[in-house]
Amino acid sequence: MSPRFAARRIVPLLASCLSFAAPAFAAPAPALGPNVWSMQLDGGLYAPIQGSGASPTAGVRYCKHFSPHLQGGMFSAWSFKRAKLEAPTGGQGSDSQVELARVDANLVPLMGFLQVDLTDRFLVPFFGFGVGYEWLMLHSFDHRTGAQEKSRYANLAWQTFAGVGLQLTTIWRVNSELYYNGGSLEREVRLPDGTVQREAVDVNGVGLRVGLDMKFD
Amino acid sequence: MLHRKRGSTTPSQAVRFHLFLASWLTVAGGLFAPARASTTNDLLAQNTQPARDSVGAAPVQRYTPATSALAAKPKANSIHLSGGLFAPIETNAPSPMVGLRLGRRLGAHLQGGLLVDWVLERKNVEQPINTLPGLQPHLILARASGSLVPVMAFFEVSLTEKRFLVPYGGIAAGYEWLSLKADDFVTGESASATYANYAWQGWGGMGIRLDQGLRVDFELSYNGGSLERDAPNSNGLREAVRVNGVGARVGLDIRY
Repeated sequence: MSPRFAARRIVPLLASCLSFAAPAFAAPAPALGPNVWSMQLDGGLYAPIQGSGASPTAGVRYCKHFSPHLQGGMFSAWSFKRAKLEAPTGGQGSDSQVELARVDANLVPLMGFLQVDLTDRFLVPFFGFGVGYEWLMLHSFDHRTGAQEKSRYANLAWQTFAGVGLQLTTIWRVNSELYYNGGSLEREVRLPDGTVQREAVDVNGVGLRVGLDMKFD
Repeated sequence: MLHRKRGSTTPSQAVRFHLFLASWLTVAGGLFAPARASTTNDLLAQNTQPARDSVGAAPVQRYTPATSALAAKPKANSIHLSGGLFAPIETNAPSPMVGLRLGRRLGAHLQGGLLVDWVLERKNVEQPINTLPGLQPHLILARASGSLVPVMAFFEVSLTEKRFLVPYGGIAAGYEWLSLKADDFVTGESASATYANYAWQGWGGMGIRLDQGLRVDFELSYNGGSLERDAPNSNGLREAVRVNGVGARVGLDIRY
């Protein structure tokens, strides 16, 4: 291919292609319509005050944006905590433990919430408040007695959260937040003599979660 | 001057000129297109997308109606949602509270309306059930709970309607109810009592205006009242509970 051929045929052809491609690159980012919604998927840690240690949690928030600073919707989450009662096996120089008892706890809130974004810039401080219902499923195994029990507790509960978001694009945002969960979940147990006992589990606790928030319309 | 001899496959000078002109028109047209496209998009954004609400970081043109007076008309109604703590002076036990104020704009800095709050305090007498690890269920032996509910008319004054920080204060008067309930789940006994009377509230705080329709408020409040009821098994004697106390709350003021 001679340089003259390249100059006369290839270069104009490439320039034409590039010039036609330019509008596509120059087109603005997809804008959102009047009804903006968003969904956040998050994960983190939750530590009940009365429990021993933190447990993993994952959640989802789905909401409508009423204005650039106010959004409201529903959220749910799932926290799992396993606690064990262990004792050393007794062998000299051995670190092995024997499990005496174990309790698995699954905590699921379902709440309505309002969230306020304090700015609409790259760094977005925000806070929110949610009220709704919360369920706790406890599954306990006592290997010493062979007893096994499943129990479910529920009641009204609330959450409040605050954090900072990074507005990566018009659509995507990464949120990191601290939250507090408050509630005393209860159940009624009918005894063989007909009387009813009330049991309660305190699920007050603090958590930390990071979420990916996506807007759509 | 020597010239290369034009071959049979070489186009004539007129054809070459037209090819050259066509290619440059093509290039110029293509490069000109982005400007045209963005201009068209701007016009579309301005004229056909009224509520593209600039939710994201990218600035988006808003729809502005032709009548500017219509756009400048302030929103007449407001709803104020709040939550916080209330501490009666005589018991010094902070209790959670939530509140709702429905207001209507009465003047440039004045609004009036109705408010309702709910202060709830609940205490259990409990004992642990088992010695298993993790979240511990407790047996509830007895419970005492109290609910304080004021329903009042209020006036609120905002010292500015334009600045970012909005100092404000308000006063309210109306009726207030206190409901007390005690249950002994061991013996099965329960008792309840309801006290009521006229009461008043005052509050002052600072708001952060996020936009024309939304404000975040931080305020301190005072509740005053002596709620009463007829004493049981007595002739004309009255029981009274003083519910004077201070509160701190955070709220959202939403105009619509």
